[in-house]
Amino acid sequence: MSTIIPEQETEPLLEPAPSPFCAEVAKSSIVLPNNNGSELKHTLDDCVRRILVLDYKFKEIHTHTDRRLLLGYAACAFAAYASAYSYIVPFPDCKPVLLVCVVAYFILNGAMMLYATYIEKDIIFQGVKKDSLGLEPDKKITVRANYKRFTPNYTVTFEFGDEKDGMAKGVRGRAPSPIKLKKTFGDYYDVEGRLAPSVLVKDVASVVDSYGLKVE
Amino acid sequence: MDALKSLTRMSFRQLAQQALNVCLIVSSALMIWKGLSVVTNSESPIVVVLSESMEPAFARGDLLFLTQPSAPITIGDICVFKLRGKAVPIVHRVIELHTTKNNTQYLLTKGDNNQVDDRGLYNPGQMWIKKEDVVGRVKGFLPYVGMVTILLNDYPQLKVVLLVVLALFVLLTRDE
Repeated sequence: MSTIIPEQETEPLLEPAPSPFCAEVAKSSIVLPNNNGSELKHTLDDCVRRILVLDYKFKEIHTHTDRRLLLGYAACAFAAYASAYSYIVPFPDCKPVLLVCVVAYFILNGAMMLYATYIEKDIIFQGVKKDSLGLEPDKKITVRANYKRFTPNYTVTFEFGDEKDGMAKGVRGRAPSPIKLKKTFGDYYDVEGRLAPSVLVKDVASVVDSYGLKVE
Repeated sequence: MDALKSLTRMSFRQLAQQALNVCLIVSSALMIWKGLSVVTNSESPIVVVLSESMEPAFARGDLLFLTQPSAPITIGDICVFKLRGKAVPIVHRVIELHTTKNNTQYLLTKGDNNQVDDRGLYNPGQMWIKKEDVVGRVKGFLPYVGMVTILLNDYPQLKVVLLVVLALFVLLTRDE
């Protein structure tokens, strides 16, 4: 929930600060077919990521993605080696190497799928923002996105935490509770499937600004 | 095309993930095949019947499952064997079997539907085949399924088209 500041108490904002993300979308508008919920969700995820990186200058943390890619490509490397080896060395001499490669492939593949399902889950973005003055600790953000199949509902959860959260440090020690944004695809896409970036920017702003960050 | 446009919007890591999806499908199929061949102890655990020489037991287009047990071959076994220098293996029945003192087996094969034994198919001067030539013994079969493989081999362009379509489909879909 965003805090409501009565307009008289702040300096009147004549126009919201221009969003670099909106400028980027304006260059090549995004139009999607309305029937593919998965594609709509993934595009919204991409847009949330771009907003956090372009507008709020978060630096993306790629740890989960990198680990998943590493496991997957390692599995493929074993598969490639097995194919090449069994092509050069005839059966049955190549059997021991083949056995090792096949077992390794399925273990790595399984590990990759388990990692994506149980550790990464529905995280779409993890970012960190260093304070420019070096006074405050780094701000960390984790964004999860959920979409139920065959429904137009799209839920984004923002989790904030300082770099040192988890350790009792007085009032600042506890991480603030996550903020959920319950929306539908109809809030962002029109009937032709065109994305309205300013609406998404406004919704993200309502969450992120309440945590004290501003568009730069 | 809108689908290709979505590719241009992806970051490097997302493209890597899409490429990985394609690679995983190909390597899964490969590893299942190699795993099968390790388990059945046979170089080619699944083969397709190409000729009618084993009718009425096997018809053209049947899928055969092979194993390579270490037990000695007996008369009546249907064996898949490869002749030196010939690329295509042959599926025929063993009709004559001689074992020497040091347990080497000499086999004579014949297709059920053929009038003569396979000596006409063997290499010139070769009267018998040995156990090393045998790639596997037939353990089970599935009728008609192999027609797909025959079709793909008769029209190799179909193979390329199928692979390209599958690869494009996986590359452009982001699954949940």
